[in-house]
Amino acid sequence: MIAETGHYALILALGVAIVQMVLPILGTRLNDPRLAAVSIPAAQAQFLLICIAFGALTAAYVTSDFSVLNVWQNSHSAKPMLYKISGVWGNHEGSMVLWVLILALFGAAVATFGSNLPRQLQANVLAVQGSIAVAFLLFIVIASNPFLRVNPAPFDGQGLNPVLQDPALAFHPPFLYAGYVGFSMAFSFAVAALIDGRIDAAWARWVRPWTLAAWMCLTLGIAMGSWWAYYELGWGGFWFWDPVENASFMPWLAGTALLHSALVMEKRDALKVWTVLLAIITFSLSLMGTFLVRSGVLTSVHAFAVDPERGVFILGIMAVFIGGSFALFAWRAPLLSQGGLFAPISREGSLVLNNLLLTVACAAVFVGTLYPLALESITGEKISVGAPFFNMTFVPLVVPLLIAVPFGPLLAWKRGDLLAAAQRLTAAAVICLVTIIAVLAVNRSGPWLAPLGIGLGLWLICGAATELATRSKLFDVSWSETWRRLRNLPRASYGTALAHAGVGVMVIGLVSTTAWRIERIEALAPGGKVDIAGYELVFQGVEERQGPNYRELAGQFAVTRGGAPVTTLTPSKRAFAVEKSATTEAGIHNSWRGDLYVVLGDPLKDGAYSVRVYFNPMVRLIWIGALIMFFGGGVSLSDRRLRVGAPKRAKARRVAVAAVSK
Amino acid sequence: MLLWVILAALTAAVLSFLLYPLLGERGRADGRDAFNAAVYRDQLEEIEADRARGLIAEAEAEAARLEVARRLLAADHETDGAAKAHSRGALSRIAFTVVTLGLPLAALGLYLAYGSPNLPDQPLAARLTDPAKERDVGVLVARVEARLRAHPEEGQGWDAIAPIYLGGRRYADAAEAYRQAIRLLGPSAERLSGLGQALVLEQQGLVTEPARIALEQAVKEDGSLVEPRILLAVAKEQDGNFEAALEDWRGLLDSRKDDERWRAMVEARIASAEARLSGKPSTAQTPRAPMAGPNAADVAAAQNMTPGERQAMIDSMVKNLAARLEADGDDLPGWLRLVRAYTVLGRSGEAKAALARAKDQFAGNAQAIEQLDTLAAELGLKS
Repeated sequence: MIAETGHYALILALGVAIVQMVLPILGTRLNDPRLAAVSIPAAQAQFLLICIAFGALTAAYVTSDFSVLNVWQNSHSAKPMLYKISGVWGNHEGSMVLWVLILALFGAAVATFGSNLPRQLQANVLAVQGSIAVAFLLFIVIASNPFLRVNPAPFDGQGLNPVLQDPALAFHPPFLYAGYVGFSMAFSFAVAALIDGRIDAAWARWVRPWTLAAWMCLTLGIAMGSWWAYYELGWGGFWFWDPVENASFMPWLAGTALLHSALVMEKRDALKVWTVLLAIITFSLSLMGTFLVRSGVLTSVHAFAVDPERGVFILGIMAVFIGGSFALFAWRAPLLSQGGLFAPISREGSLVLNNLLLTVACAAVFVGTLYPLALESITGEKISVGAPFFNMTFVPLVVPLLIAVPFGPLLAWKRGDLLAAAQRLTAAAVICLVTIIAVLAVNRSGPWLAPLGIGLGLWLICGAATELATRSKLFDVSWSETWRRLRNLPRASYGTALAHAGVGVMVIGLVSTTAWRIERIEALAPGGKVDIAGYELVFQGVEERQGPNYRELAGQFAVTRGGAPVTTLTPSKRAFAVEKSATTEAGIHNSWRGDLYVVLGDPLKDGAYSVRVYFNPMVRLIWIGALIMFFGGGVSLSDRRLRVGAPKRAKARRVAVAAVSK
Repeated sequence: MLLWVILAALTAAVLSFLLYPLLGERGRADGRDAFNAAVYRDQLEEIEADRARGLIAEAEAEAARLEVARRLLAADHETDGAAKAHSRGALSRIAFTVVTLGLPLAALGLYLAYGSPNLPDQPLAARLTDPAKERDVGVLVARVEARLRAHPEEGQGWDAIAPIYLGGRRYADAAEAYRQAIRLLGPSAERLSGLGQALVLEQQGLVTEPARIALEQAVKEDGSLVEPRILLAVAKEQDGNFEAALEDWRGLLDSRKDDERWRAMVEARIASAEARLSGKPSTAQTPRAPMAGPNAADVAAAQNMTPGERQAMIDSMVKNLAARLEADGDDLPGWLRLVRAYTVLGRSGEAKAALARAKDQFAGNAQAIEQLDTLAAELGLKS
């Protein structure tokens, strides 16, 4: 009964979404406020109904109700409770329900907290959100229904892919989806503006924070996915330029650009049309990410659904929304009023540069991801585009962007002074140069570009610090005055500085891990030793252990450093009987210097095992950097003030204006 | 019935919530430029606050103020020309009627197409304690599994479930259960033989090294077991050692001369091995080693059956076994299997009767009696 109620609630939500799509648009077109007002309860009711459906599905998973086909296919009574719950979205159907749940949550937020929005804008936005919901709910009910039943019910389920039974991966999809779907908000606002042919002042006030929230979730989601890949896949790698990773990375790049252009729009009322276009592009890339992962176009762990019917359905959804919104843009964008003007060298100008580089970098990733697919579907030839392609295209675009980042916040709005900004950054540049030379001198090994990379990371961190120092007039005024100014600085400034510094931290982690990673592959019998990066590992043998739904073979490694015991690492291989597959659990010892990473390989003859040992210097900084970025976003989001960018006035005009205002 | 009440209530609640605005007062005109003007006024206040806190200089504040003021003026100007919106009663009424009728009908139609309103929830915990499911083999298995998860150190449980897994083609599970039983209760010929069979079947008939070791130990414990001896002979064939295999086959034929179940197969094996040894490639397909319990085709067929059919198949298999033992009682594993099968099916009276008959049959054989007693103890058949 719970399952059936959930099923009905899902279908009813589809009906409500259709109402939400049709009536508000009619209302705004025919100037009938009553019809338009239906959008608010519709969005709220839709959210509640999908909550019921999601709750019912979760209940079926928690109680192991194998009469629900989806539960039988993806769960097992022996699974730990956490993975019974995460199993809800660990499969295709359930993850689509999560998708619409988050979509409905955002819609309900616009309905509930949107009292400061013009009614017409709110109604149009909710109608667009409603149309997205209609498409995906229809897809769920017809092609991916999680509430289909089996009678008689089987006795036990088939289990969840063991690779996915992991805490980081349990929470990776919700964050990723919150990011993807969060961009639907910017999309709905953009399309609503195009339908109306005007952009209200409140537009950017809404779009920027919601984009920021979505961006934060996506950042965290991607970081979790990469962290998971690092410790679960047993390679010690953290990013593979896998199409599935790229599918989430492209919306992130476009979303980062959108975030910055929305900032310009909010503060300066400029870049309006571009922001609308970016909002459409970003959500289109999110849809494409969903398509790539959900349709089974890519055959990897992520492509659970190998069913062409679904692929074609999602392709149809994509065609309608992407094609429709671009057509609408081409038709209506000329109606939108252009915003304020600015000089090329200005804060706006630097953000345009940021946008250009980010979108071109995104295009590079796009080509590298889709070209092999297109080639395979046309000629049948299978090629793989890997790290070399992205290193040659993506990296050269991003490096100038990162070099430019510290300049942006130091330039004034409307017209800036590059020389003055450069002067302020002298201290940061000197610190970086000294570091580069020091790293070059200490580390003779490794690629010669690596010290420059470390310098780049440090440049970003020092640049962020310089921005705060400049704003608080450090060294120009007394300490107490600086302190007072620091306290008075808007939280958004701290957010910016933190996020930019986070990028720097991440760059340092990326560069040092890639350049100075040490790798050993040995055949070790019990008692065997490996020396790596100052550590000594002694293999003490293996033991069999029984987990809740797996058996594992765990190797014991005593780790010492300079004779002093450090830790014992127990990498293991887990065999899952129900799912008939195995996973590798790496043994990892963290320290600030880097991670010691041990993987137990296959048994060899005479009781030895092949053992892979890695030392990944400063690899933690990658995820710490992502966390700092997330945190910076949060700080900025908590700043509830309005944002107005004070322009720098031209000298000649200042006289004129002064004369007029007298 | 309750389900329909819930669904109707849900629909009614959603409809009344959804359509409430259509019944409300005549909508007010949308003063959207007033909203814009409000934003600009807020911005002006913000600039003033920033200036007061010393975050922006006087000149910058003045410039920003000027810009915002210009936008504010423009917005105020447009407000005057804004079109007056009005709600037409007719439109609302049409929308109200269409949604009130259309939404429940569409939802109901779609639900009837995809939903299963007659199917109750079946949470696992409730199913396991449901007395109506007492006779269900699957439920029994699930119950033993649940118990074993809670108490993985109970050897009897593993010992009881292992042959059921083996019969149900869950070879990996069977091998694991036999391993646990051997670890906890010590090796016995039955368990070692079962482990060997499970390992071989898991590898689609290939006798691997661990399987061979288990089978050899089983034969060492009890030389009268047929299955491990057959598989060991097969192993020798797989190694290409046809002479040794032939010897084994002949030995098997001698010791179980009157056992109809094996003879045809063993004779075919002997013929094929002899053909190999004499250099002639055997044209006949090497027959698969017959296994205890239902063969693969039976089990595969069972996968696609309704519960009733499955029950019928199990019943007929048990009946065949009973009839065969009635005709030829000198088959201890057969008796053990029959007793176990009756118990699993919940027919404990017949299980006890079969146990008694088997004891009569093997009256002089202490080892056989002991095995029967052990089984009886395991299954709780103490009379």
